[in-house]
Amino acid sequence: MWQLIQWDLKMLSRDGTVITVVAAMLALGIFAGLTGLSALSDHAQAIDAAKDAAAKDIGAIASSKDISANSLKSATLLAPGPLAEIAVGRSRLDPIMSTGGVMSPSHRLFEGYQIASPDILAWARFDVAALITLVLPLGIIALGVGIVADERTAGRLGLIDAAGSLPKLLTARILSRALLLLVPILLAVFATLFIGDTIADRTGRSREIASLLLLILAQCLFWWLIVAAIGLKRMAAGPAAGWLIGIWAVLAVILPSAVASIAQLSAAAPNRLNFTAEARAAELTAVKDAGSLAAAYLNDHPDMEPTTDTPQWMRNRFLVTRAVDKAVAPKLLTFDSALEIQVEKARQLGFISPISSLTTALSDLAGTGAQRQLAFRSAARSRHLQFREDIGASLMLSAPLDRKLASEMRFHVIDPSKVVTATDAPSITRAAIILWLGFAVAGVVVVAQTSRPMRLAAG
Amino acid sequence: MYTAIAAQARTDTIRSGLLWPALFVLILASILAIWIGLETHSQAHDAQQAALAKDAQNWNNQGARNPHSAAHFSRYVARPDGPLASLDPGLTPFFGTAVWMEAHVQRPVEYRPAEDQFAIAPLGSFSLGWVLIYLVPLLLIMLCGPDLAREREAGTWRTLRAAGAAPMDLLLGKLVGRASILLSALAILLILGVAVARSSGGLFPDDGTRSVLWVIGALGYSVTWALIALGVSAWAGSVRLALTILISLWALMVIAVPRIGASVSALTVEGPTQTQFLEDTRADVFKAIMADRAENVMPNTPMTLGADGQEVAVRGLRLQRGEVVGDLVYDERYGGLFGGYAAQSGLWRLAGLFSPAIAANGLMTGAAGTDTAHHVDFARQAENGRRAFIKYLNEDEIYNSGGRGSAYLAGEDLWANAPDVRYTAPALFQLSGARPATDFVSLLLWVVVAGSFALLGIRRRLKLG
Repeated sequence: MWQLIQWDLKMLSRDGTVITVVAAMLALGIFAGLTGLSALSDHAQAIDAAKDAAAKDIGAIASSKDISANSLKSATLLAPGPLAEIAVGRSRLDPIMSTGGVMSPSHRLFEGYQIASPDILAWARFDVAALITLVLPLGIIALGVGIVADERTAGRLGLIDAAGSLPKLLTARILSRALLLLVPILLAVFATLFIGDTIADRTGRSREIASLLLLILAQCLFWWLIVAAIGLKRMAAGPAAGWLIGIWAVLAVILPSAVASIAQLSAAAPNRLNFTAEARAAELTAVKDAGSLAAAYLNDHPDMEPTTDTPQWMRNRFLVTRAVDKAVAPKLLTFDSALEIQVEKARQLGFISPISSLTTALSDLAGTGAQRQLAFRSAARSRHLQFREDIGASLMLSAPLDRKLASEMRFHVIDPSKVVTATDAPSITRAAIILWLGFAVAGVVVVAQTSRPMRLAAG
Repeated sequence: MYTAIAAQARTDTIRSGLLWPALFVLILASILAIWIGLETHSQAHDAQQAALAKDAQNWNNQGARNPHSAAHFSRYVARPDGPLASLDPGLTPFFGTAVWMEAHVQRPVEYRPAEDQFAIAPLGSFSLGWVLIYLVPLLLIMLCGPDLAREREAGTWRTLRAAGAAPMDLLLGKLVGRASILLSALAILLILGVAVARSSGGLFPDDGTRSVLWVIGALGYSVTWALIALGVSAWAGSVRLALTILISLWALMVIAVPRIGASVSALTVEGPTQTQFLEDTRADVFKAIMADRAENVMPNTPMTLGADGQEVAVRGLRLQRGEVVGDLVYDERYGGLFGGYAAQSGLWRLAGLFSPAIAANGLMTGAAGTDTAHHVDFARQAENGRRAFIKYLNEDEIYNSGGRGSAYLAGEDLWANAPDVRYTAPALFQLSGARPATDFVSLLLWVVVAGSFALLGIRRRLKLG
């Protein structure tokens, strides 16, 4: 077998088409890696800038004699995902930072991040994940389409079959070509991961890297088996190529887009502008009711004396913000749960195509998917509420401002990877199951075809 | 000769058994896409109208309030979508849809639909525009790709030469025979889609022209792919080679080049990060206002004499002065940001030299009002509206507060008579940053280049036999 593989590799090294495909794969891999690294670098820069800004504020908190809770801020940032450089996912689209003071309502914590160009958001997504899900199958098809059909066209298939070496030849050819394609893909993956490590330090990601490699392997096996199954049908190379491209177009192009659109439509999230209008209505009601809000606040803190040092407008604003948050909290939860339902629906429909499942699995693995973002938003909101209650109390009560706490809460990076890895294990498992199921079905077809040598030879 | 070739090619296409599946896929995908587009558009439109009605109610019913406090509460202005956006959403999911016109601050356009679309599609969501860009070329490759290569495999080129077939006759005959049924069905679906989309109402003053341009873009792109398929088929030595080259070209031109082009433009023209942009802008506005206050000291009294000799409130003057000074900083900062968008967009369109998908996308999304130029236009109009809105409130403070400062409360008349800021949809050819003519010429060039490529291939093949 090894000799056959070596011989095939030697032949392939003289084939211009093969060299072109492998070189193109390597070039695309480098490019895809750069796209992911650029997104990761933007993320890391944003964290550094926020850290610098926080350091200045922490200095001021320590040195300034007369500092009010009103001027303090708390920033919560999302740590880059464990394999963020592999899949851009939603990393350029979603907020990675929440900044707010004691008077910032929860629903406006993530504002101001919508500055990236729509062109870039829509198109600059050719990352390693896209290479694995979309381009790798095309490379496999390009190298694999002739492995049986060419022998049939040349009239050698009967001879090979009579010698009883068809299964061996088929396996050797698949393995040699798979090896040739895996080299540029793995080079691109490891180079990207290596450079990514220098941009953002993320320790303990060996489990994610192992899962990534398993998914790549499953994807390769799935497509090689599809190629072999089609190749063993009595078809010339032309129609076989047509069939393979058709299968690829349906599984990788049409179904994932249709699935995503149907999931979005059937589980549409509420309108954000409408939600904001409701929050603003709650704000107006609270503004008119500021007096009773103040009384209620003081009732809730019977052990403390009210302060007279804070201006009236500041106290009112603080109370109004709390009231708005209380009023919109259930709606905010509805919003998040609608998005979760949408994600789940897309995952359920994703069973139709292994590429849909693989795309979701890769972005979950990379930490740039929906679940991690939702986990970040939820954690950032909780942290903000704690900041407002603990720090804002000095606006209402005679308690002194807790400077140590204010410094501690000024800047924090959240890494919800652990939470998400636990909840998203099914997405990765599902993708693997679908790919392996496809692999098994295609394998059965291949075995069935190779066990009928006469039919093959006649074809 | 041309009609005979066309008739024969049409018969071959029907007999090949590929035409009906191709038509089925096209019609099914288009109808599904039109339905999804109209539903999404209608849901978004209704929700936006409900939100704006609530916003107006909030504004009008805020009761007695200080105008500057109201200026912080302010209102929202929302971007409506044109009728063609339901067929070709283009960049719409990545645009914000509304701007909060708060005092002191120019905010980015918020609420991008993509933020609430958590289901991931590696090649974008399904729409008629998506079907045109991704699916139609594949169907045309399937129908036209094997044709001329098969003539070579069957050895019929010599017969064609002997029969006196001219290259142009062959090209037109094959194009009409192979692609006309699919293209006619496509044209009907496009016109139907446009008619249904426009029946829900118009937005732009030139909706008719835009619809025509959009259909021209779609058909021009499809014809380009039919010509590319015939050209490759004429040059290739076998059906297999022709199909392999065509699928590689499709993957390259439709999937890889647009994305690589965007990545190159993002790497070449770096945009600012969120923190950098917002923090720097905020700091610059603060600095500019402080410098202006130091330079143009205002009286330390509640009232002063205005230019027309009328008594005016100093607080109101100071607030409005701050707005004007801040606006200069915003003009510079956002001007730079939008300049960056334009540079990135321009670089991306340069990649259209290697992909007809980019040229067609530019023309079609421009016509549908779903490209970056329309987004920037909305952001600019919203900012102008914000400035007029805040000025109106500050002027009330200046002329009517009597120097009472934050104790002055305005009545409901002030809210009811505030400027009604709405987006005025522009005509395509008058929109700054839009390039319909360039996109049209680019696509036309693609048609010409693809046609010449096919013609040369046929001429060569006729010569060689």
